[in-house]
Amino acid sequence: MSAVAVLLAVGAVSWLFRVAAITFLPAARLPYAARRLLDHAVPAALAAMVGAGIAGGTAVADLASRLPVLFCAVVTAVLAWRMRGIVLPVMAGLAVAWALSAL
Amino acid sequence: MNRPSSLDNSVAAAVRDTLPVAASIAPLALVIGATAARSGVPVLADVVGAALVFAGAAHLAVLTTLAAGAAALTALAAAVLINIRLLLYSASIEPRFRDQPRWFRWLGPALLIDQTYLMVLARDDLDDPARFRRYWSCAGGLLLGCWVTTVALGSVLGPLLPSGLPLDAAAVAVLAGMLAPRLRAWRPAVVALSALLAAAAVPGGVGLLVGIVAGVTVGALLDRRPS
Repeated sequence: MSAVAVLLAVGAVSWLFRVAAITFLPAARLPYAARRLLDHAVPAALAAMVGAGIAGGTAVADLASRLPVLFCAVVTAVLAWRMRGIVLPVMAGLAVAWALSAL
Repeated sequence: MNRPSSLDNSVAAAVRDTLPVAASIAPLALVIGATAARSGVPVLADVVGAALVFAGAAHLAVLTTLAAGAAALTALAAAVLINIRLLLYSASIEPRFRDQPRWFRWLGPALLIDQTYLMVLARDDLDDPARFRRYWSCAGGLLLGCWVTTVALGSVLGPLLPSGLPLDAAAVAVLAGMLAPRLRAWRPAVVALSALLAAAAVPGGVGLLVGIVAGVTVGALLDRRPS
């Protein structure tokens, strides 16, 4: 399956999620435990993507080469946690990554 | 008699609210376009994908997961898990759609993203169904147009960027920026830390799924503890 096919599938599933509780499935009636699992899925998925992105497909022992990306993520996260919006934190994080890469 | 004024008000309010939001999501759209171009995804295909998915983190997950060598089903699963929050938004915003025409109940939710959801929550003048419909269509449509245009721009500019630029750092930065504000309570912070460490510890595309499963499992275990 190509990236295009995956994107089309994700688009279809996303539309189902968007329309489900409005048009045919009352999600508010889901059991509390199920809703809690949905709550956990979002930070877990985002954090896993950050972790996988920092590792960049390398083994833990090779992480030294990924230090610019690691520091980029830390700087961005700390600034985004304290500020509204992500534009400035992302710019600051990228500046750190590019500076460390250039060293 | 006051219909034109009401129309102007809701449309003007939507435009006023949307422009800064569109500016805030532009960096992610540029990164997605550039990442897709670097991964060999055709511009037109990525733009169509951007319009259909209309969710940056899930779109980026597909591109980066496939680029890391993971299977297509892994990429699909990761994106679906990321977008599962749309179910919650859908349930939360359902009262706004209850008195809408059938066509709008089916098509309107296509514009449901983090930003449109939060924009509607922040307004207390959308009780009238027609006013809500105009606001939602205008704000969501404008955001969708800006999103698709910026992704296309990123796709065109991506190949022109020097190869030494760490675009993967840009993607990680955007995701970290989206994650951090969600971690103000300790439970999601522990869930996120577990997922991050697990995903980083397992090399290759499998790490992503391992991290998500680890995070959700830790969250479920925390829920079983008495608060």
